[in-house]
Amino acid sequence: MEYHRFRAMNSDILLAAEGEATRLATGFKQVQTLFEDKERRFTRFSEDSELAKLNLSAGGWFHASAELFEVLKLARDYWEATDGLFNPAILGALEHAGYDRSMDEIRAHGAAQVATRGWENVPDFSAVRLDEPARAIWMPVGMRIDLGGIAKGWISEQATRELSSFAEACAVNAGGDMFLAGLPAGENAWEVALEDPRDPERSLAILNVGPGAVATSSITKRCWQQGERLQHHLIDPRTGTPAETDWLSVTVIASSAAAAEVFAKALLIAGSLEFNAIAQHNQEIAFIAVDDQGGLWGSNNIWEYLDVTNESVSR
Amino acid sequence: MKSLKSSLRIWIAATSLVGFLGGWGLLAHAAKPVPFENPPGITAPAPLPTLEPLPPLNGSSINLQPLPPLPSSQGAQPFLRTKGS
Repeated sequence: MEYHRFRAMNSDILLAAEGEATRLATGFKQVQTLFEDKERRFTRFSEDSELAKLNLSAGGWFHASAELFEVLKLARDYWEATDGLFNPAILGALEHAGYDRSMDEIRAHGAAQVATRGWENVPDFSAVRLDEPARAIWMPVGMRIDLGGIAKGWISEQATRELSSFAEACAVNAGGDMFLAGLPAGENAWEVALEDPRDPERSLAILNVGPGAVATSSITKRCWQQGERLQHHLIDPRTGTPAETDWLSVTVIASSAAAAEVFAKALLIAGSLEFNAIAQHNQEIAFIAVDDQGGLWGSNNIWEYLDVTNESVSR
Repeated sequence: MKSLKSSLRIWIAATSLVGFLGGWGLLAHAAKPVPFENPPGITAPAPLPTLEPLPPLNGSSINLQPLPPLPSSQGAQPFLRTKGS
């Protein structure tokens, strides 16, 4: 297995692939360029990005690139599939909570101690109109969206597909959101360690995953101090504030990276009291949640992916 | 012609008055309606039984299972780690 690491989208990116070394080197280079190109399109931290221009166009029709249109269409589908718990229109609320600059900048210099924007309700995402033939998007005045998570998932899947044309088997891990293509030689699954959200040095389980996607959402990674409050980046669209949930992280296994990312986020916001509505309507996903005591909770179908060869574990 | 018109008016007025008074008299002496009563042997319908709620169909509900501590490594840690983003 050959590896290539770099940083993009405020995340550590790891590419892993099996194949002929020269071809893999070319593939790694192309995929890094792909990440850099897509980041320029989807970042909310640059006024020149297409996303920033879409946000400025609210109230009028915006003619989008095929990529932005595709991701926004996915976002609308997942908004419906999660009963609105995934809502990209939380950008105003996110900035109010202090996430108004990149996470790298917050980690280096801290967040603004006073909110730079007043609190506002999270707009109803159903108001977004999409004109598919014209590839045009209309958002109501005041709506601003952040596609950070779903775009990162979508990009990691695109990157894996690109890399797979240079490799026998490959994986792209974008800060914990990963997509896997093929299988390592002689193996019947990829081994993925589930990080303990309370201690990044520890793993809580090994997941055995076939080709497809794995993503984790956590409230312990992207968090910061705002005045006396410890804030995190997962906004509950119903309150417009960082979600109050009894789970620290949720990991989802799904067939697409965008789905894994979105459902991990929505299930984490829902927590143990409200997860069932989402899980019942989306039974094709498997998930594992970690509570604040380090306890693990899994959906019925998570056993397919767990390494239970150790004798201490019995169902 | 003028006398014909006058006679016609008088005839219409007279027949209308006779018809109105006749109808009034007929209705005034007609049988009064009686309140409806169930015929003997017929009772009021019994209330419909309520149905028990249906149990969930197989596989339609997701059980959240507490998982036991799981093995987290077999020697070396795998190079792929999933963590919160």
